[in-house]
Amino acid sequence: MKGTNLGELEEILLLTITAMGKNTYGYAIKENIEKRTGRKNMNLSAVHACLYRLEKKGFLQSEFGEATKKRGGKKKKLFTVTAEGKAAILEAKRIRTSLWDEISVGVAWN
Amino acid sequence: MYPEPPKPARMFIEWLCSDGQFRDIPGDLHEEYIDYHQSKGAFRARFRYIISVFRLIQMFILRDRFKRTPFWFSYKLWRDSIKTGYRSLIKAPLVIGATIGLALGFACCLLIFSFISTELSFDKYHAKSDRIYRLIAQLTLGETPNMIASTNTAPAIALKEELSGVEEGTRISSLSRVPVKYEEQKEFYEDRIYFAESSIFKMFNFPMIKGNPKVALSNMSTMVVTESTAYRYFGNEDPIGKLLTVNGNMDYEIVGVVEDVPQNSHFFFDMLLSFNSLYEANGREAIETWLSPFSYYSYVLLDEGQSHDEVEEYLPFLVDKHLTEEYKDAGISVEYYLQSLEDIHLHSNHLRHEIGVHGDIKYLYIFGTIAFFVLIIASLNFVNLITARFSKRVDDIVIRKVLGAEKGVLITGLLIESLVLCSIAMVVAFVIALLLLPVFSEISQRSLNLDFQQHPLLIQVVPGLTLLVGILSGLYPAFFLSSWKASHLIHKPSNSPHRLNLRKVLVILQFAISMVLIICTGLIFRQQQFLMTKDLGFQKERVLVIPITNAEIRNSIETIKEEIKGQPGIVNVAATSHVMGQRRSGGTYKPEGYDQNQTVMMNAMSVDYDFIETMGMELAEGRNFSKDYPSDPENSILINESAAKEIGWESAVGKKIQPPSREEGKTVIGVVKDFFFKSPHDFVHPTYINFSERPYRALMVKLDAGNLQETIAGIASEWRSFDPNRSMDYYFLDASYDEQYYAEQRMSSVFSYFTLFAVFIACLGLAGMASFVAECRVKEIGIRKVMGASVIQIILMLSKSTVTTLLIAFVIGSPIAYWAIKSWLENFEYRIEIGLDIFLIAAMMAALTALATVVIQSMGVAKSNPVNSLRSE
Repeated sequence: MKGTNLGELEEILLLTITAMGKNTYGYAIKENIEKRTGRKNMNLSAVHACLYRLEKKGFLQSEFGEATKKRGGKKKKLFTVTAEGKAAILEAKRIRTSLWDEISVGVAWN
Repeated sequence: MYPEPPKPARMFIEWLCSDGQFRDIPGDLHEEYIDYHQSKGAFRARFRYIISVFRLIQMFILRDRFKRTPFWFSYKLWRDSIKTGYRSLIKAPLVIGATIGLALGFACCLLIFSFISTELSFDKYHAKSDRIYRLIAQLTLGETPNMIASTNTAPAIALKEELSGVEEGTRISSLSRVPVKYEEQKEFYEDRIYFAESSIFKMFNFPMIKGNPKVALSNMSTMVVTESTAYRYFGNEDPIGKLLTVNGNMDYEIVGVVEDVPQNSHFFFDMLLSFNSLYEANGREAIETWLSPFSYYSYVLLDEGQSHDEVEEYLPFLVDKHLTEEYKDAGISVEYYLQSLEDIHLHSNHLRHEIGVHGDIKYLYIFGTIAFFVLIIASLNFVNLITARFSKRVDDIVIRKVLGAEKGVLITGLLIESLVLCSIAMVVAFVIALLLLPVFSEISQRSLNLDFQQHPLLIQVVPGLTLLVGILSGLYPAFFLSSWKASHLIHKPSNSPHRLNLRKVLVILQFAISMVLIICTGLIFRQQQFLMTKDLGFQKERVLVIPITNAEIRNSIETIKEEIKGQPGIVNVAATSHVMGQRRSGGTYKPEGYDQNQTVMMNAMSVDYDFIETMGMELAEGRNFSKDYPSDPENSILINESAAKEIGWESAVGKKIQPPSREEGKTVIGVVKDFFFKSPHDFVHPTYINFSERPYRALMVKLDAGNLQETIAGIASEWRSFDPNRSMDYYFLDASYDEQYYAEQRMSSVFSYFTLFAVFIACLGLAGMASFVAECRVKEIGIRKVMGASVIQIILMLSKSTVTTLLIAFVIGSPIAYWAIKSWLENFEYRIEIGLDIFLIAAMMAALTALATVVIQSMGVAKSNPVNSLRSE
């Protein structure tokens, strides 16, 4: 397994899923990110690829949810963040904060 | 209801994601599609969906397998290759030639596809077509079994009543050509008129526009007409409730109007009369009996899931149960079989008494083979020219290699280029095919089209063919070129025409196939000509046939004959029971000296004193019927030479033959020379010619060379005075007799069209090769000219290899052509000898065309100033 380092999209995904709480399946996650970040036309396949990568790393776990007519009768796959996932975003946050702290300590911020 | 994403893409992605963990992806894409559909419209939604599908393959499935995007999925490779493919097309006439050749080949395939697909679609428009079967019968009289398309009235109904798996049974009976009259206003002769039962509408899809299909035709003296027939008689008036008089004596009330019968049906009707109207003449019992004549077409509808084998197994029991005594006494054995409705159009060659003109699976095979050959020629041509063209790009390819392009990348690039060219060819082919469709429809006698809705297979055939040809013909040049080494940039590989390389083999193959086609076309034409000009044993020119349809005329035939003979412009008039080229009938006859059970099958016809003379027939032996011999009508007969031969008589005159209906024999008074009653395709059947035992069916009127219109008008007005209720019907014997050749004639014209295609494509290839070779040898030619070679010598040198090519092609092609045409000719009883001359003519034609092409192509190089070719470098 790769290390616990997170890519930018990976971090956003984990954060969004945590923030959304329920109904966390591929398309809804994509929509949610677009709404929150103001990004346009994110590619759904990119989100999928990332989700599966995170699952493989053990940061996400998934279970199949209900199927709707709008989905052509296909089941949703609901993702939830695992304990490792939580640890990973916290670690990411810690690294960032410490970096920011260093910046604010060491450099004059004009 | 939500809109649906594009189906192929959806199915593909569902298949791709079918294994466990990715199962949610199609659903997510679906949802995205629907949101896009609502906010941005259908087009953007579809576009995005398809893009997503591609991204999925690339980003996710493939990456999973290959660790990185494989090179052949790289956008840049495709972009560059499409660009170079396009550029090479617009710059090089060689490539344009190759593409046009391929387009012609594709066009030919599209046309033939359309024909085959139409032929295969016959009768499939009926919703229950897979469950409908026609009952056919095998009648064995004596030794020879005869398969006929019709049966007696009883079995269809008996099957329905006795077997639980048979849902419905219906019968159709054909009326011969009869006049139909609407009051005193309109009268037409109707050919496509049948007796039918109400159940016909339950089994077949003949949508009723007016009237109730549940009860239509269930009452006596009612009829259903088609839309266009109704218009013919009544214009825009409502036809329901109107009365039509059929054959001058029966009134039928119109109770329904159905849509016209589609073109792809095995039988067509304009009018259907209620079946029970048949009871009126002789009562129900005379019709509904197992002893009724075998002239009814019976169809049964099986239950869903009912296997036809089970029903067929029951058929012998049916015969045992009902058809025992009478038939056995008459020495006839009957067997019934089921024929699937979908098979009727193409698989009815073995059946007699067919309901309409049917197709023949043989033509499908022949046309399919032609399409295949033309496509092969076009593809070989394409490979050849593309390879030639690519070898000019040695610099391009070698530099790419030096710069680090992998072999795989090069091959893929070249393959993509060939695909681009193929796609362009396919588009051009569609245009060509659409332009040629009307012509091809005309000669194939089908209304053909290239409608994707009517031929759903086209959706697979068009891209499939493009891909197949594109990849297969790209393979050789791609592998050939990518194998070049960087050193080739300095030392170019030789294009010496003396080496027997693959390209040369391809040219030889093309010409061999063209040669086969040319020889076959020539021989088909010759056979046709042979049959057309063959002495038929009677004169069919300027003979007017007047069918006799009612009893009054029949009874006063002698008077009518005399009256007509008195008219100006008439040479002779005769009455007959059977008209040449039309239906035959026959029976079993017992010649003198044969054992009690021995009989001979013969065709029978009844004629009068004037028939032999009117038809220009000749006697080989004996005399014609004559009024000088009062016993002739009762006791004398004529036979033909084949009959005498079949019976085994050296001299037939004076011998006796016993017809099935009589106790004692009739004496043969003469032997007529063999004549082709049906057509010269067939052998001459033994024929028994009687004097007026059967009722006459037609008058044969021999006209002189005078004004035909006037003479016919004279006869018609004479006819009126005998039969005021009906106008006279007539046709010319030669026209109706020759109609039988149409199928063969049409086939040969199709054959010649496609041969032309093939030869043209092959010449296109040859022209390309010739100019290419000349171009490669431009320096050599320049030096030769400087050394004093003349233009003629140069051209001779350049065309020398063409002659060898043609020779080899001829050696390969002729035996194949010989074998093919020999098996085709076996269909004919009378056929031409396959002469050597046609092979030589074909070879000459091919040689002339090919040499002319080469000479014209090399002329430019041969004539050019050597300075131009030598000063550079």
